[in-house]
Amino acid sequence: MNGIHDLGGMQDMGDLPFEANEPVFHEDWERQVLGTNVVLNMLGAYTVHELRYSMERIPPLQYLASPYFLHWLDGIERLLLEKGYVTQEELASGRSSSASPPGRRPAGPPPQHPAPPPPSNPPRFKVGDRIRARNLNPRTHTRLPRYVRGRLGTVAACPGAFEFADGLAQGKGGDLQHVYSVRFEGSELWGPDAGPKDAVYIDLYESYIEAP
Amino acid sequence: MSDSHTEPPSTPALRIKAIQQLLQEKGLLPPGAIDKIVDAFEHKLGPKIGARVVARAWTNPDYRRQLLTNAVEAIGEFGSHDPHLAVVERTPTIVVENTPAVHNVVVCTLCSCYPWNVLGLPPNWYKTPPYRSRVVIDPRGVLAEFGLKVPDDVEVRVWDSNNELRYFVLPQRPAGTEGWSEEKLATIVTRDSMIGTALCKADSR
Repeated sequence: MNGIHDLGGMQDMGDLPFEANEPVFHEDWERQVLGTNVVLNMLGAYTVHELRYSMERIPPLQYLASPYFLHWLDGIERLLLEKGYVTQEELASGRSSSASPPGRRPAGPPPQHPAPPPPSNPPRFKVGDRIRARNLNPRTHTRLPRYVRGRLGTVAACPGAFEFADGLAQGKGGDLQHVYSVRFEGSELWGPDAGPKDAVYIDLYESYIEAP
Repeated sequence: MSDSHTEPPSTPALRIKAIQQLLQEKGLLPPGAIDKIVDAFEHKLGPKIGARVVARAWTNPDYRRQLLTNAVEAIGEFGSHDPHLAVVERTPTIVVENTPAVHNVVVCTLCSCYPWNVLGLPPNWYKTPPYRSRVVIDPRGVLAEFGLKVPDDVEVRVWDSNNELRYFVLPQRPAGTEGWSEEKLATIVTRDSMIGTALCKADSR
């Protein structure tokens, strides 16, 4: 989704918010949001990919204006509603209603999904290959940022196969895909405005790239 | 996601409390689980782990080689072994090494992916639009705002940790630390030096 979260390459986002002796959490609710999210993740209530997609759907003005852990809180609420764990009425009142649908799963260890089979094809690319990031614009979650789409890069490493985040984010299976660490020269991404000897490395699924 | 236009806005503290209570009433959230997780994240993770990893790599060439080829195992030596952090500590991690010719810096432009296993939770600036947007297009400008001027003849590599792999930087050992013990070296390895927005200095304690 071409959303506000896809920030790479923008230049007008203001100064870096430095803070000396920054604590891990500024307020207790941030601690509670982190803990709730990690536990729900571990219990299999949702995946980190689903949470990211949920946060990407925060309206852009709200996304830019709200602090980081509020993104998580908004994202968690949306997912719990979408997955039927809670209702809007319950969230508003803070009390579970008898009319509410039962939670999907009891507390306990996450369901054991069988590991997806390895990719059916050998890696299409190898270290040193020139590739082009495909120009893809899915309406849903993707880990292919806009700033590399259509750009030429070089495979720098083949770190292995990973489940396809775009599928996992929609609650679907994530097929295992070969992933490539791809180097893009600054001049290829930013033209003559790039700094001297700058490069960006990014990890791309095989379905994100093609022979140039 | 408060889309209620008529009700008063709920504070984040009330909203997360409501979620926790509801999920516990429904048996979806085991009581006490959150406290254990939060305690582990707050007190057992953090850049001190990364600092010990770096100091060991500076003093032990075999460890350095292992760190650069199999980081998860090398880092595991300094892990908490807390069962609540097992998933974090198994995170696939790549270590990128600074040299006189190459300076590395880490970002996540799409969200806030960060090597929790070695650095703990990220500082606020790492998660905000100013850093995420600009460090890929103007890394030298951003680093200068941290007080780090990278010479033009040094290559800058920006690592956008956009996928399942997490990256962290093995900084250069500074001059003036010859003969220091591993423990003493660890005291000058800062969080920012492992993100790549600072260098280690002999007097950076």
